[in-house]
Amino acid sequence: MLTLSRSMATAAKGSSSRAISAGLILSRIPIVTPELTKLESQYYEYQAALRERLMWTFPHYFYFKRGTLAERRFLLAQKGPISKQPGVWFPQGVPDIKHNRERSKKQEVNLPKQEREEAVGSQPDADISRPIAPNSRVTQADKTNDLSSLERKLSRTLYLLVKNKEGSWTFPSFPVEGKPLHTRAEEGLRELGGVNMNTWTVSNTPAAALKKSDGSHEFLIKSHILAGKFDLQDNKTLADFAWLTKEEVQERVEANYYNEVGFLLADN
Amino acid sequence: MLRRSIHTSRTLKSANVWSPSANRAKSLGIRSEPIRKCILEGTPSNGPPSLKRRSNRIKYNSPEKIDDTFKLCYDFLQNRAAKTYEQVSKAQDSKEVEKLLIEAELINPEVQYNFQHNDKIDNNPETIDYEQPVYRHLGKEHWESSAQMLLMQRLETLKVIPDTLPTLVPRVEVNLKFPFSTGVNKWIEPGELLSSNSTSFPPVFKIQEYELVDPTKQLYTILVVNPDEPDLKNDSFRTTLNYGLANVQVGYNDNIVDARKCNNSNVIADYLPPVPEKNVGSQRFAVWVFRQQAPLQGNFSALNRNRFDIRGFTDQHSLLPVGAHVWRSEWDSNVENVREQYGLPKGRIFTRVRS
Amino acid sequence: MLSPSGRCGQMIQPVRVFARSVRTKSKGGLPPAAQRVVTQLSVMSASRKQPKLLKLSREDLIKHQTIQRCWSTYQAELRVERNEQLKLQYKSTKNAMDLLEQLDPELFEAANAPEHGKRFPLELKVPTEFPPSKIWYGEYKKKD
Repeated sequence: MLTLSRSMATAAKGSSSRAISAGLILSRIPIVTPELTKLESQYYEYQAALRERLMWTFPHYFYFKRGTLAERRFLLAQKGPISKQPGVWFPQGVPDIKHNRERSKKQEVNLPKQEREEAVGSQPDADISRPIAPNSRVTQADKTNDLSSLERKLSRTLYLLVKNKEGSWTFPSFPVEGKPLHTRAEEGLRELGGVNMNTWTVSNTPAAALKKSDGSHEFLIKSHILAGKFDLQDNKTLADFAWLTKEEVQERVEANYYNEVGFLLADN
Repeated sequence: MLRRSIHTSRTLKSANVWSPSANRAKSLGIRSEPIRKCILEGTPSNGPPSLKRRSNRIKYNSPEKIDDTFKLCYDFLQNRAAKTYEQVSKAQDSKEVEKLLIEAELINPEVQYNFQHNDKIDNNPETIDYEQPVYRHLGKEHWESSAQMLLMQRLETLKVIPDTLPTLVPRVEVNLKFPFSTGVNKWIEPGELLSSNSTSFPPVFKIQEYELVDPTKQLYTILVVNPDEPDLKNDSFRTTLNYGLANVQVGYNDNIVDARKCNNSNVIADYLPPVPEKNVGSQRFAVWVFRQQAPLQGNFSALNRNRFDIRGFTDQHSLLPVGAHVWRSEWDSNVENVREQYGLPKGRIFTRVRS
Repeated sequence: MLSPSGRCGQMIQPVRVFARSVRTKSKGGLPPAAQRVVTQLSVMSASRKQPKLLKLSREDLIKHQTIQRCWSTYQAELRVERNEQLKLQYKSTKNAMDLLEQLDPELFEAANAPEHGKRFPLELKVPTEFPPSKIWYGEYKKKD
């Protein structure tokens, strides 16, 4: 029931009912772990708290040799527990201390603060003891909402969608011309987006078949982009391209097209 | 995968199906208000109210972050229950309704609290109400986890199966008690050896039904038989009928069968206490509970109690065995008193050599 | 029989000088070396490192059970949806291949050809909690 001439090149060719084209679902896999839902993060926090409470006492005598400066520095950083005193009433329970740890509570291990010398060399990166500062999960491309960038939405799988001159969005599609589907899909991608791309096609086998309004068929091949960029070459049929998440794909493509391909796309 | 779609569906805060309302059974909530508040709204600053001593409450430390996590999880589960209740309103089949009602309430922490921390045999219908499908389900699971296995093991090792009836598929829980002043005031464990004094008055049965039946129509038969009576003539043993009740009606909660529950019309055989003769060893007293298909009718005074054919009796009345119990008795010095009390003849004394 | 050198060593042994120092002998029981081993073993023993058992009040036990039940329900839901999606994908592949066999047997053969020796690409990386400093290698040039 697809009404538009979605295919870019098949439309030009004689559209017999046996005409076959190779479509390509090109994806960029997530670079960072998925965002946690509230339930997940809360549950993990709860489990971490339980684990800390049930953790065995930290064996500092294993890590620090007796009588060394390092041991002294470590012990100074620890906040000692309240120890049992004769004749003292402990309303919260009599302390039960083994190895400098209150056994009924979690142990807090404080690492001694290191006095950092000012960077001696000109390269701050060379100092291996520098504190770790993680990179932001939100990138520049997210802020500017640059749909053509592969650095957007790092926690999601992105899919390559192209827009033809009529303004409808689809996955790129190419007539097969007698070559195997996966070969043709890869070649076609390079014709559209330039050769400077490293892709990996998951399988020769198509993931889905779509029937078009003119009776021809499109077979979808799944592939991943590993490096490089999709640069839209001078093209007469295409107007634009974008790297989109599943929800954004749903917003742009037609409803019945999405019904046929939606389940092929990953949710994160 | 798919995390996102689930996440968005959770944001809708639907009706609080677990909060108390007029058409909701009282037994599905915790009766004690402080405990209920402690669970649902977080532990108060003076400690959990289930701890009785103040010093213990002060000493107690809850795990960290348990209250916040619980609130989130409670909302999550309550939403699932709300969805199940929507399905209940659409369901037609009574079995399906029962299944859905179990599903909706099984995840309710208040139900779990009530069931885990209250007496399951001597249940108070205000906390554990076996009319509720969820409590029946929990009760059945609890029974199957130990008591049912114990019963089957005792029945098989004591050879009650197949000496009395060929086999048993246990479906109702049967408990037994001798509550009189002479008896032992506890539920008897299957296979226990009891003194003749404690068994001198009829026992009280508790028939706990866990399946979906119509308690107003379903009738039960209870038979107590002794398959170990010596039969010298045939050089064998014969089965005697010690107690027989028929057309007994029990409810899900009100299910103790005693003198108040049954009158003379129910009794098909009066109680004969176990009076084993000297040197016969221990005798088994098997309690069998049957579901009836129709009210039992007929002249039961003609029953041959001394040579009772329990298999013939069940076939004749098409009774379905659903539960059983067993205890054992031995000769002791009190047997003669019991015989006198019931006007029984003096017992024989067996020796190694047959006279 | 002692060697001459040994006898010689005995002869030059100096007179023993008594001086007060740290007590090395215990008052009784084990010899000090063995006692030291026992002390060390007891220090290292597991029971001294283990925390106290976690005792939950009735309320907290129910809360914990509810949390665990919620988590398993949540995971089960995710699992069910994932399996459904996989089933749909499998069915879709199968339909596509059936259709391709009818339309073009040559392409079907090519699509069904065994892919021996196909390797998983090393460039595909496992997602990490935070992105690397260089997020995407976009300057890739085609190798000849």
